[in-house]
Amino acid sequence: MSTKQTEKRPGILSQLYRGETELQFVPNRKKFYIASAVVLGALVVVMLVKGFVLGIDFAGGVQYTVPAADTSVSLQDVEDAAEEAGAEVGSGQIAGSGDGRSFVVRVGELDADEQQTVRAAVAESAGIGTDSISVSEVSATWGASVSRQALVALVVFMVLVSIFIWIRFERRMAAAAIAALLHDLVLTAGIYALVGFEVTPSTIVGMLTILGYSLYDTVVVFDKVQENTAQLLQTRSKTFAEGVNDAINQTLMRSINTTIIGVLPVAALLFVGVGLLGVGTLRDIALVLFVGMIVGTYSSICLASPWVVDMAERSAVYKRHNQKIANKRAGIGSEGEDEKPARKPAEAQDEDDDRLVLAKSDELPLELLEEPEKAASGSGGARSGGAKKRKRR
Amino acid sequence: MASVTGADRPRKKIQRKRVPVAPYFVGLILVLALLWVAALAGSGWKFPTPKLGLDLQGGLSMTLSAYQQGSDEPPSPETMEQARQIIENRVNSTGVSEPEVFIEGNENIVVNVAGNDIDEEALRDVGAPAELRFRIVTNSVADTSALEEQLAEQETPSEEPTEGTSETPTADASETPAEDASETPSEEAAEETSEGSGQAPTTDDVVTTLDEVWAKVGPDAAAAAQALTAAPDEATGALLEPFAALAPEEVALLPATVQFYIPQITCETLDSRPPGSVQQADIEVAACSAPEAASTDDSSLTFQYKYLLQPATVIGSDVTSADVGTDQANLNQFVVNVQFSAEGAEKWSALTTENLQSQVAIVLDNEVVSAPTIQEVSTNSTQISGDFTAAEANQLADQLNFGSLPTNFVVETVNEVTATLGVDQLEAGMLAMLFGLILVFLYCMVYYRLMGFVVLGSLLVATAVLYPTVALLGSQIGLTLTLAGIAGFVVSIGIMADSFVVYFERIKEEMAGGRSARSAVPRAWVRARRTILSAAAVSMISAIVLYILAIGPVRAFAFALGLSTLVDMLVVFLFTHPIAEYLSRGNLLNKASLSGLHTKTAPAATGEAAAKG
Repeated sequence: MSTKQTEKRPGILSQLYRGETELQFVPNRKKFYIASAVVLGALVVVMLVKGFVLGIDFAGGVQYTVPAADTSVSLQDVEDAAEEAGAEVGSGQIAGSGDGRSFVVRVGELDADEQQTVRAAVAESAGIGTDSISVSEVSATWGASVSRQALVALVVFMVLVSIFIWIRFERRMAAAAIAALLHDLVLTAGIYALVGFEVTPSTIVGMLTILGYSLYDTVVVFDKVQENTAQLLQTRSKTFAEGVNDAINQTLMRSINTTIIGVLPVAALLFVGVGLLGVGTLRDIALVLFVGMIVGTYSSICLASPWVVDMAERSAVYKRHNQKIANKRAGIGSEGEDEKPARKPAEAQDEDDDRLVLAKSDELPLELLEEPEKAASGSGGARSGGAKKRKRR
Repeated sequence: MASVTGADRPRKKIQRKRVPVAPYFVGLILVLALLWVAALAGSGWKFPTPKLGLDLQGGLSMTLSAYQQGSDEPPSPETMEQARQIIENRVNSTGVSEPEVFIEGNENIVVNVAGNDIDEEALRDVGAPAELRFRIVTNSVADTSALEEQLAEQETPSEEPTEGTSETPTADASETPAEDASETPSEEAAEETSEGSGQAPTTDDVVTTLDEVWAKVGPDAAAAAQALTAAPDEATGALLEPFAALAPEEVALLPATVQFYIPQITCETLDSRPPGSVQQADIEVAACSAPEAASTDDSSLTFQYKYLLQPATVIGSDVTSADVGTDQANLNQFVVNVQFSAEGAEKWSALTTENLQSQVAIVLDNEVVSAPTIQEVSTNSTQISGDFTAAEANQLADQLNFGSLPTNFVVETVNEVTATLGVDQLEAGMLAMLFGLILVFLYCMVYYRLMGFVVLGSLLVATAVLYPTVALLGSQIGLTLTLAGIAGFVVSIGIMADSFVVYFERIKEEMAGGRSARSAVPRAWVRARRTILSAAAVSMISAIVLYILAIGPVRAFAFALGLSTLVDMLVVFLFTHPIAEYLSRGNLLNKASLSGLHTKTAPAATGEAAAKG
């Protein structure tokens, strides 16, 4: 695993496979920020202008699922029958095919008697008994109470997870993780609005699941970041930003694998949900998850970790550390940077800072096992030990 | 590798790390055996099957939501529980089989009924407030049949309570307490059903008209019953025996006097008549009081009063409000103040004038909730006093306000799924799960080659753990597997496989550093374990929060995720890790072509580059 600019660079896939990529996520973070901001802005506009298509759970109404293996019956017949019986037909859909074919007809709110009338009419038009029709009836307030509870759950979840990440990692990571999570939620919701899928309680289930998934991915990346940067301040080999970038690169293949492996079953759900059932729980959950998982991985890599860098670099400890590295690199004379005020007097103070960080990183079990300080950060550090231009503010 | 100072102690640790893997497998096998045996026992030693949700087996699910006018506050948990019990009783009395009634969130009650032939109309009404009726008591009698049963149960331990019982009920009962009459029937009825073949052969065939009921009990009993104007003597009492075998629905068809005078028709039967049996205001009805304690020492001994009641002139809508207060004369005494509307006040005043000193029964559902004696003529408001505790007074006030349900309910959702659709959905869910497993396996085979089998093995072990767990939870705590739950399990395939990915990527990383599989695996495990646990903690937090706070299908989904996360931990620790450990002993994993863990280029020594800094 020699340093980077050696003879033959293997192909990108092979690099990925070995965790040897050197994609510049952190240095290019501003571009990701801008891209995300633009996309988010556009999607917020979409949400505001276009709005969501609300399912019967939000609008209130009745949904009839009418088996229609008999191809002589058309959806139009059934809709007409419902209309005639006094229902306001909202939408009609054909789900499944062959023997599993059925019509899904949604109508506005009906009272109990009207509902029975419409059901009988629909059954007659489809040439089946009323018993074969599945009915789902929802009041207009139900969707609202589902969403309200979901919102409560969302807030509680965020608070708990922030605390967890704060304890397990640190507060900057907690902030970054939550920010990334919000990004994922808004983005997914925006795409949902853009595509115009119907919003049902299952959609909300999906949204809430993204919470767990997006954070799961972020936590794994952070874990690597923490491991790689735990001893960073004791060395002068690379800046925090570089350490984080290495961590992202090393865990990149895992992130991609996780996403693929996570998305595969969801794709199966989506396929089965759309292909066999047409509508309902499976499809709604799967659609949201599909988008959410991909966005979640993106945000862990391109947003959450760089944010941690941004926040960390604002602290005095890391500023000084960056400074020292810049000094050192300048001293070696590889690349001259313009401003590099030497700050020897600060050295004594730094030791204190370092000790603090050291104390914190003691929890790492592996550090107890073998090869204390250098080699631990070395496994990752060796790779891109080379000098990078780092901007300081 | 750089052997730096102070590395000696940890090195020993690494050596000790080479633990035998057998205990892990033994542990896993024990867990599996335990789960399967428990699941088998739970299902009565048949192959355990998970309890399917209504969306997978067909049935009707209804969500009722508590709703209070002008208030966003959810009702208290006690109120909800009280409402749940009442609703459950009502659902049971509609005659459906094995209904499930449970509270979801803090203001929803879910009624689940499996099967296809459900009287939806009747079910819809279970959340409706039963309307209140004020009826003058014509006659009352103590029904001690329940008490006798309770005593019979207690007989062996002690005979003492018998004394207290015969006293209390008679003390207040205006009519002959029918002790003998109600004693004999229960015994004889038992005999009858066991030996009598012709009498009531088709008790399960519930008839629906009064004539059929008369026919069912036989002409003699019918004639005797119709002639009754008072409690029967012993001879007629024996004739009336067939009435003991009638179903509550059939009893409800009988005239009120018959229901009242026949001792064989117990309060238990009267209470389980279909809802609304005594709702009709303009007829005479029979109803029972709530169970009252027969002795002060033992609250498990109870009896009920059986009342014959006049047509109602004052009804629930005549009451504008009811609240709890204290008696002006005695501040420790709780009373319930009732306000009547203008029209109600008129009727109430007429009622009280005519019936001074008689009892007026407050009737709800099929039960007399209170039967105070009218002390004075009152008009637009009245005060009900009695030996109320604060809780009793509050309950009565609530009942006057809302009917028997402590709060109002509206039907939020009704989901009726036919059995066919249910089967379709179940198949679709299973198919998705199978596809998911296959896709993940294929991907892992391509990427990790031989280790793909470890992934497959782990997923299969996880399935072998999950299946009996879900079945067990189904038979023990009534957990149902719904479509959302299946979706949760499918999604968790990915989350599970991810633990393996984290682990394998770690091994790969360690091996890329030049280690042999033998030394890379334990090192990788230590690191990966931390990551896996952190990530699992986040998943668990999300699952628990969702399960507790969310409503609707979210809960099933969250439960599936949480359970999968736990099982994932179990499998990673007891299966995946030991098996990787075991494989690392051989030379298998060192072969790049087989393990998919190895990087082909011979890695340079790592130590130096880093050690410079």
